[in-house]
Amino acid sequence: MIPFDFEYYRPETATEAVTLYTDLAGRGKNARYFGGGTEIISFCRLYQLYPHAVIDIKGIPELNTFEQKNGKLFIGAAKTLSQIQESNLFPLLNYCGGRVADHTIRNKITLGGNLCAMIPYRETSLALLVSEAELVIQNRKGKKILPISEIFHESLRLEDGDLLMGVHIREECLGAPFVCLKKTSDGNVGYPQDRVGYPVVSVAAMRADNKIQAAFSGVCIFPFRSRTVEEVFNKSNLPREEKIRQAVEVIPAAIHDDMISSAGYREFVLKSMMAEILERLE
Amino acid sequence: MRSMLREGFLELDVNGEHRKVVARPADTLLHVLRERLGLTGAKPSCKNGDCGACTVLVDGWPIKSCLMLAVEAEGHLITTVEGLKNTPIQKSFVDNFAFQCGYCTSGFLMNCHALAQIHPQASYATMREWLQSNLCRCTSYEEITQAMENVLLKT
Repeated sequence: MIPFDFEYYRPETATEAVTLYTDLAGRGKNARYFGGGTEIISFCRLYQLYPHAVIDIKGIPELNTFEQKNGKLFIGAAKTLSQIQESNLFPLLNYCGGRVADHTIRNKITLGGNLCAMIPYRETSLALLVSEAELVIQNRKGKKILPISEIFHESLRLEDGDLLMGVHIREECLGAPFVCLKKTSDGNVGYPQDRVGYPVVSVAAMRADNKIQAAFSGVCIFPFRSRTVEEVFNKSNLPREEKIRQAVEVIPAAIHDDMISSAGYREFVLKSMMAEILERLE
Repeated sequence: MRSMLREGFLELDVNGEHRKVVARPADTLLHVLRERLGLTGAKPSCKNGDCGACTVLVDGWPIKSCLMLAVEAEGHLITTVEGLKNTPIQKSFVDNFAFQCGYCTSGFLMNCHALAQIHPQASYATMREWLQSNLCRCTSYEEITQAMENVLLKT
């Protein structure tokens, strides 16, 4: 039970939503856009979040759309991870989104909610980083479309009041060869808990334009795609073992060490996943 | 634009009935079903989305009602275990002794019933993926899996 009150709004257009957000802010009210709301409800219940208002964006038709147009697939931010998985339009995103939480919760978690999550594991970001997706964002000034590399640095750097409308993915990425792996601290403990849990390491890698592109989560405190790691992966005339050694040296931050996994074990898992990426995509 | 600024009336479609109920905007669907509508089939347990004991169907899809606001459910069709009557999965649970204490059973039933309705030809892998969402501390998993498989095989 959430032990305090907040106001609930369900706008019908994106313009209405961003205007409302600004109006509420002008009245000193801290509002949150509310997609699946699983994280907001959990954090409110745990006294870690105190919004004055939530703006439920699921009633905005544009945010509930799959559309293929002009060589791109658009996925609305309010599409749930299960809807994305059932649609099977972008298999790499199915895999990345299909390992978040459990199946029933994925009926509620939205793509936008996962990308904007407060917890550090934003698994769908991996598929979008390697496919160089574009993000459609609406605010009071209008709509803008930005490459994810410009706005995702450790987390999604939205400005106050920005509403994530959805993502564009180039059609050539939809069927590109890929590798998607996740290891949890439980490993496979047997039904029903196999695969459920935060990752020790998870990776999404794709072969596009004859090059390997790879993104990681669990390794550091934030998910990342590193061009430097990719340069090492794509060097010719370098043995795989050496590529892995050099790639681990250039990851962008210290390997995370916490109760889920020690840094040493994470590095071991990371190296084994890198070996699998190279074996399958080289 | 729908707005709910304080405690007030909500209109919900539950088990084929139109219900009007007083709730706060911050009330979860689980709380309103149990404490306002007296539908205690959805069970409170972890209240954190981990255990699945509170699973209900929203437009036919399983949802953990502890992670949904009641006001979000307006305009959708809600089914609780009280809305299941002599379904194949209920009979299969009895035939396969797929419960012990029974606390998790309503959540499992809702999830299994949804799978049988949405993917009646579900593969074993799909069935396992769906069943990951619910926990049974009496560890009746083998019997639950068997009950689910038997329903799928008959469709």
